[in-house]
Amino acid sequence: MNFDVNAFLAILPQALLGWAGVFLVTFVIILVIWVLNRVTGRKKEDGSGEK
Amino acid sequence: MEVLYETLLQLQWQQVVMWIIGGMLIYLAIKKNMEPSLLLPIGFGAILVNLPLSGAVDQIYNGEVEPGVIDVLFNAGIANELFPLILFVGIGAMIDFTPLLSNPKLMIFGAAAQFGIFFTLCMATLLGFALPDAASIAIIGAADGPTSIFVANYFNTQFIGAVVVVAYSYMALVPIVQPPVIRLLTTKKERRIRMEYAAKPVSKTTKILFPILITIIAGLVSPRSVSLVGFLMFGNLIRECGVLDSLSETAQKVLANLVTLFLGITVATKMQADAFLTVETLMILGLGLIAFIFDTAGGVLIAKFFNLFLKKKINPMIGAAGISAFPMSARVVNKMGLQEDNQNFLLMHAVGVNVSGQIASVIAGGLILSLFG
Repeated sequence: MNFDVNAFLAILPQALLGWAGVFLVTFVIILVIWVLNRVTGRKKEDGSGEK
Repeated sequence: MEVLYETLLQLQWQQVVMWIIGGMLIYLAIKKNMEPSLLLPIGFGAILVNLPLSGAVDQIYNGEVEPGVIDVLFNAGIANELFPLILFVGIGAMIDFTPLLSNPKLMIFGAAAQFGIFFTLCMATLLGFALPDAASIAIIGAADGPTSIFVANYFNTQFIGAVVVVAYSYMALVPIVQPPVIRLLTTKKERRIRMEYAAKPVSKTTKILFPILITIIAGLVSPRSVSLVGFLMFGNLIRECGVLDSLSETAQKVLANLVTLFLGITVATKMQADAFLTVETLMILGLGLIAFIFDTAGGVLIAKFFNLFLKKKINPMIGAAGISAFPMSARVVNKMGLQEDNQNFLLMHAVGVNVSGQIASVIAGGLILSLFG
């Protein structure tokens, strides 16, 4: 087994970027769900949406 | 008799070891009920492809390749990523995203619990694995079989057999792997935090638009992996649209079962002794465990972090359900909650986090492809 510290250091920022990317996409999805719930919820309140 | 003798002469001890491994997988599937739909076909396949001169896999006779049926299936269904994607249609049809849609904040835990993937990527690189192999090993942390197969196959790693077996094995071992990690990172007081569940109504329009919009977002962020999210969401749209009940039922049962049947036995072609019995396989076994441990830790620790600022505390155990491994992880968290306080019902919160983990793991797989593919 040979440890490749250089490769590890090279990949570290990209791995962090990847994890941050998951959070970023997640926040976008949360926002989309929030908007969906607001819009379709309001329709119901107005009585113009589906029951 | 002469033929039998000649065949026996071809038998290598490594193949016998693979029979034992195959037998162990079948034992775990039948006796311990560990992911039986996958481990049993994989176990049987491991024996089938490790018979001397097995006609189930490609063999060379007189300089010509004689195709074996398992390799034919591999090329038809896994090498082109077809089987995992079709299986995703079935999985999408099985999942009810309502707990997530009624409380979308839960998705943060799903994202946090992908930490193990990226941590394992770094560890595998440190241990000297080439980047495509390291990325394939890291995706074990997605705790999601089809995603693991899709990504590992995309990178064309020689370790695909080990990656898939390890991924499914740890998914089956979630009730054993997660509780010690959760206990280590939480206090008894934290584990006893009660969370009320008030189901907010989710409109049918939201349920229908959700899979379509998620597909669009995933496609814009990571076009290479859009088929992963797209097929999952297509299955969910069939479920939620309300006019394709028979298709939804077929996707959930017949289609998913049929693909699972072939997926398991086909993956076994990558479990031929010479490729499987290596030091790297043992290392992948260890790295897979690291992935699951750090996924769990990521989810639990982010919940604890939020509790520093929240008046109404979250039970940090629900963060662990973000590991995907649906629905086993949610059940584990609920069971642990009931062990601490028999009136503490965390199931619906944990299920919401668990389905979030399902989406987040696919997104993580897509980002791995985009960043390192």
